[in-house]
Amino acid sequence: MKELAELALDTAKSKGASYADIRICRYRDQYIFGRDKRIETTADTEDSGFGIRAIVNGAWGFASSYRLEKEEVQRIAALAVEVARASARLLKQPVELAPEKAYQDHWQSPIQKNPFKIPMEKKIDLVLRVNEEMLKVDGIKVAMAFLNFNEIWKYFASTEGSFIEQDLIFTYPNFTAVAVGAGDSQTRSIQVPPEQKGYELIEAVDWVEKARKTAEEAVQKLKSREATAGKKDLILMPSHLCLTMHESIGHATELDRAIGWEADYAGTTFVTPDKLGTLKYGSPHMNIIGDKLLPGALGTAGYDDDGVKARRFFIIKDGIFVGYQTTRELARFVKETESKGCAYADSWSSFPMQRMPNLWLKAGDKPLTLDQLISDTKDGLLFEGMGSFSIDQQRYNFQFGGDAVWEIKNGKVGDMVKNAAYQSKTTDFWGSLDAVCSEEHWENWGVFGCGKGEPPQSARMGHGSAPARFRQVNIISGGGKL
Amino acid sequence: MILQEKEIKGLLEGLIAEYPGKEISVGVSAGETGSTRFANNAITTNGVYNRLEVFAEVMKGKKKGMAAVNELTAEKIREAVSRADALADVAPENPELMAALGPQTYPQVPALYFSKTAEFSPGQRVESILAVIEKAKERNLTAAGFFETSSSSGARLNSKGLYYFFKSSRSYYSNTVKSEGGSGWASAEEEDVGRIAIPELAERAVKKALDSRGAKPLAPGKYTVILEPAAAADMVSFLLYNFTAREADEGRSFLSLGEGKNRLGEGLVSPKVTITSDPASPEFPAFPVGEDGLPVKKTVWIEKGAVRNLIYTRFWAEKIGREPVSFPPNILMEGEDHTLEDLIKSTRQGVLVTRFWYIRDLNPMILLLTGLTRDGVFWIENGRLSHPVNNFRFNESPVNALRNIEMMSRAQRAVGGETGQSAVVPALKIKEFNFSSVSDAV
Repeated sequence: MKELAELALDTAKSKGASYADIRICRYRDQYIFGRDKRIETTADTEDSGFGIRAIVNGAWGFASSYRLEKEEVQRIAALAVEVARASARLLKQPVELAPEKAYQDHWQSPIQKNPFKIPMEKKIDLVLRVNEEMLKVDGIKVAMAFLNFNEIWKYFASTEGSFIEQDLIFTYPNFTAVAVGAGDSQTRSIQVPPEQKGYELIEAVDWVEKARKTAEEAVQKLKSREATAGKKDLILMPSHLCLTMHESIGHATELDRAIGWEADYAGTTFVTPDKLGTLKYGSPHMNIIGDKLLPGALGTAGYDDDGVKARRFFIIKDGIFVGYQTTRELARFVKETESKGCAYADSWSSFPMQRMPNLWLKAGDKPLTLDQLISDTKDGLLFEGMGSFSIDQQRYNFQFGGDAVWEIKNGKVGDMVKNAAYQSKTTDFWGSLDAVCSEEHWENWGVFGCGKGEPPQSARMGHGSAPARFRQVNIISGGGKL
Repeated sequence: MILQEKEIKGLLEGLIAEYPGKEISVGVSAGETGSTRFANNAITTNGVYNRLEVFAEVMKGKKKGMAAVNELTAEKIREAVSRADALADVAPENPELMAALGPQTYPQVPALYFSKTAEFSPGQRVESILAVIEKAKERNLTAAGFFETSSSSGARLNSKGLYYFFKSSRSYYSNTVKSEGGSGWASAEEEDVGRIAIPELAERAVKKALDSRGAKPLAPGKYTVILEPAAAADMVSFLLYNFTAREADEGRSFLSLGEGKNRLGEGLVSPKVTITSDPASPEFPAFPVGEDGLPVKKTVWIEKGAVRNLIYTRFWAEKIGREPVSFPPNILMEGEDHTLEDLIKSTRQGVLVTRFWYIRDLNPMILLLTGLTRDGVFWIENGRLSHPVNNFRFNESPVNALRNIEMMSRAQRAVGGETGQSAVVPALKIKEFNFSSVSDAV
């Protein structure tokens, strides 16, 4: 590999590149789809190739190929240089990369059991057992299952002397029960997050027990009454808050959006650079950390796709916005001298861009259990799991539903309600955060398929929190008849 | 890299011949994409991307395995066949697995491949963008956008003799222009890059960016709206993508009537509405191959407001006793003999919407969607555009929206702001469209 990488870098330099890097990647994906008592798909796929970035006259060029051969590596390196040269004609500000040490290293996900070494029969058996258990519950019409195991191997080398090999493994289980009756249909999913773990993630769960409970809750949800519109206090569980943080904080504090690079697609952000260090994003209970080091989280790695060593940093401290997510190219736009390590490309054929790291809400400093938080809430709703989600292109106005929602009345969890969603404005919402449970309730969740960029790229990242309460948020009902 | 039919077919035939008596299907697709992204009146990324996919499926009675690789050597493809074979061995029987199809006859469709698109260079893309940026700079505006040209080819062959080859090209252009307090957008997708009118798309975005400055507040509520074709395309696409018969029959969709019945044949939306798909459409041609290699024919989905067809997979069609109906390869909605300006002139008070963004499903039983307006919302007063207004979040079902159509323009090919995909749709004038809250985004 090193020989091919050096050939690419030497070719790019000889053609006029002032900087070049190559990522040689191999992806393996194994997935199983099951529906009811059947297995619909068993698949095993692999995809490999390389991408070369080059800077010429201050502009980027990129080219990629699936043919990892000497001649092709030279051709692609020359093409990346040619593309960079064409781009340089429309240059406004030459690319400047924040300095970073050169590394020769190997990093791998600290997994216990390689899921690709577990027999397929065992995985199929799990899918069928879970579906069967769900279908035993009266009212369940459909049981759907998805098991995905994913391995990313990548080799990064740059003209600055880095040679970094990384091997990452992910496990993503997803099981859903569908209840049907009385002119309605509702779903409920088993609440186990995808993580950067091996098969030990699967083995740590009593799936049959969870399948039964989940299916019973799907039926309960079907029979529940519609949510009523109005203001309520919300208690958001980590499995739910994950996506709200992702959309209203994660994307809003991406520096490439803040300076307009994403304007044509996902949009910009209300968190403009003049607000760095001063914007009151939320209440003092709000401490948000960007983190590429969090063990087991989906966005953790040894190095990012700029070759920057993983790190941890505050994005919001005591409610104040203090730091953007950056890459080597972006750091200087906020006068920073080093990257936060947030470059990521979803394939050998993709150009690395600024992507969200793991991003999490710090647990409350004072002891506070979930039971205490519920006891202290008179009229509220408790949201668990992810539901419908939508946010505007500057990250002000959002609306989120949940996988399951319960009423809280006079300090006690009551009945389930269905088709509930809440609408708010980002800073109003985070300003209403008045309590976060303490450390023992902190859980890491994650988003497995986050889209951004043109051409669109998919990324995964972890979002952890403890249960948290938000006061007087606007609830809407998504019920009704045609 | 585009693969030629002769080389792919020979390779696939050779492989199938290596496995006599085995039920297998092998396929190859390869493509090259060039794309250039710009923002703040400058290029940000420019790249050339190649891809190759080779897949093998092995069926053993009611059992199937699938494997994919991305190397075009007989040895690597044999490895994929071997992995698929091993998966088929351990897969339990799937009673819904349909037998592989034999040779099919596919309808003729207009050209999907244009060498001009395939050969469009990074330099040509930059040249086109240069003119857009100059236009934005002249008016003190900021342009961002994306220009992509791609080509691909591929083939599939199975041991029963089903074979098809495809070769296509695609060009996609989008630009967003920002003014002080305003924003405009325009986009297009075509097979032939020569039909992408970049100067016109830039001008449209510039005009919207200028016209949308200084938006006045407008409260949420139910309004008569005029959805420009890009906004209409998203509404109609979300409706059609949810036209699946099985979900309807299982009581899981807005098309369900309970006890295994669905709304097929029923009046669902305004009698003004007729929506079809046709891969042979000259305006928006599509590849005429559907599930498992089935030929895709012209399909009438909604005729004068009544549901005429749903999507039937091969299994569900056989179970119900109908012909399979493929997922819509394109969406073609009939319009009326009016212009967008006629729709505005006919409106005493209403809201003109340029496009939507971030649309998601909130309740599948009524197909309730939520999403936001973006890049130009205007108040209409007495038949004229009066002034720009704030953006909104909507909570509305496309079923209700299409029930409440009052008037339509002539249909045109437009790219949905949310789906990023084309549909041939008119601008729609709709009464009582529900904006549930205001968005401060510009």
